[in-house]
Amino acid sequence: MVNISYYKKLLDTKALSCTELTKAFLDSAEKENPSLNAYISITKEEALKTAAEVDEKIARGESLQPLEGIPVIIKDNICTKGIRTTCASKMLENYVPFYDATVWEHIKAQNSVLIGKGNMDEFAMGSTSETSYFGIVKNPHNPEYVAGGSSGGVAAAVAGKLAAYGIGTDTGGSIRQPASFCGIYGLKPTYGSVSRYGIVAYASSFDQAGVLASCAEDTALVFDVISKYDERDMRSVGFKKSTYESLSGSVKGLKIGIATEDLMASDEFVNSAVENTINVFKSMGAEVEEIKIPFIKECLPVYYILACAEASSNLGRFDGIRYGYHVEDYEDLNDMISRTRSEGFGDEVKRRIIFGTYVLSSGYFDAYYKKAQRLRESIIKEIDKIFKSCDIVLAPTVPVAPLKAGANISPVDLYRTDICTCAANIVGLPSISVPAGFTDDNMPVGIQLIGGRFKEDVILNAAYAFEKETGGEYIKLSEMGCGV
Amino acid sequence: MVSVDKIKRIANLAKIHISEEEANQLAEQMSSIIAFADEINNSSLPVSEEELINEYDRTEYREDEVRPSSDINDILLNSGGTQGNFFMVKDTAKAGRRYG
Repeated sequence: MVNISYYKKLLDTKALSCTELTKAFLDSAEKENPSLNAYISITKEEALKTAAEVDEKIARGESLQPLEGIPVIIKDNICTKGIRTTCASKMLENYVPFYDATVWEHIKAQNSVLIGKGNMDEFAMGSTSETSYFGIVKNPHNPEYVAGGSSGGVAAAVAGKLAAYGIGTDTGGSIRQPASFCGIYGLKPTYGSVSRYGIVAYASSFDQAGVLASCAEDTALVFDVISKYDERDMRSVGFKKSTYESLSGSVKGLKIGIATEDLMASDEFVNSAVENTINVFKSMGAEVEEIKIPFIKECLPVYYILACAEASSNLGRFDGIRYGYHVEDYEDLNDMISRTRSEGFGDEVKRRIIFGTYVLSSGYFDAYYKKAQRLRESIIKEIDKIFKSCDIVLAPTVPVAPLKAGANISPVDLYRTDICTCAANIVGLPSISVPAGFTDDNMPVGIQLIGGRFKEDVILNAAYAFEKETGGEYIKLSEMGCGV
Repeated sequence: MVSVDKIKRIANLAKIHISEEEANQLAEQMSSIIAFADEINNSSLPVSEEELINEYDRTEYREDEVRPSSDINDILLNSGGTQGNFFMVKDTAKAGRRYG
């Protein structure tokens, strides 16, 4: 398997120098990016500088750290000191941070080689990476399809072998959904596992950085590097043990809950992927039980009300005064700020800010924001009960197969595609999307394994076991006799 | 249906300038989004009397002490204009003038 261990072996055995490996990835990125649009910036100079340092270390006979010399893509809402960080917005088109996000500090300390910054939905608001100011990200399996969002550029780069792994962010499904559409692994860790410091905030009580990688082993390896306590994030907890070392591949006796009635997808291939995955887990000795999540539909409006309310507050900082885009012609201060925000933000961002302002405004606050907060509390309690009787909940990642680019779907219909992912963000649970098959159009379909708080080791081990059992060879779902 | 006037008031609160055409379009879109948000009223769940007061909801405060901060030159890097250690903000008293 071509994964981080494979690249590490090439470096350790000196079969390839880090500069040669880096140049190979840079060449692929430069060649493919005009069609995939996975990268907003390719950081060639930075990459070759790091690669040379790694080569010097190898020449001195020093052993390498787990991610040393490995090519990485970082989502463009994660601050990288001295490297443009745009959030895929005209508002931050030329913004160069003067500090590093903690998650990037951890990757940088490993001497992982930054190939570039990943394209995304503007300010992480979207499910298709079509709202980017820098253009749509295409799916490497078929450019007629979207890569998913909002971490679409990172997912497309990892799936298209333009980076060995990537770091994304997930507020309502933004790591898992593109991972599913691109046929890779996407881990949204427990809220508090990975520091949010230096990540441009969208909805602070939901935002979480995580990993996109080509296998479960890589995902665990990267998660172990980035999941450390950080005093600069008031909600940071960190993660104390090594998930990589706990990958046993055994799921015997693991209790898996499935909500057939409440979490059925609208797409037959997605349902088939879930059914097939259940059969694989059963064959490995896991115990599968039916659970009920009748309130799952309420999760969507609760999530959108709260996330947009937080966004309207978080994005209030973009006023064109200290940094970022600003208009030249205006009448007074208010007009300058309003026109700057009108021209600097794209349509979806403006829609979410206006909706967030609406639910926070006098007369609507109690009916929407306050009620959604209280329902969030009830949802947390109900989901906690589920994890008293099972270790993992297995569900579709997205209720539909990958979408075609330019499908002109209404905002609300797009929001509804987050139905399977947003509950984990509401409650703060870890969840991983695992590749589980292909449609007849050869587009990937993922399934999702959700665990209890700080049970990343459990879901990563289950993902690893499933991958081992299926040999990482993903089946054509129509050939599995699972209902398609 | 959310009225165009209400959309204009909310956009003004959000400090986003919208044209007449955008206001009309947003009124239509916002009506569907608000109808979607109203689905919380169909909830089968008991509405908690508490707002996010669960055992996992905790905030860690660090000691309030003076620590080294970022370099002023770095902080001013993205500013459109500077004078010494200060941001130059736009002149909003005289329309159209950029700095100073």
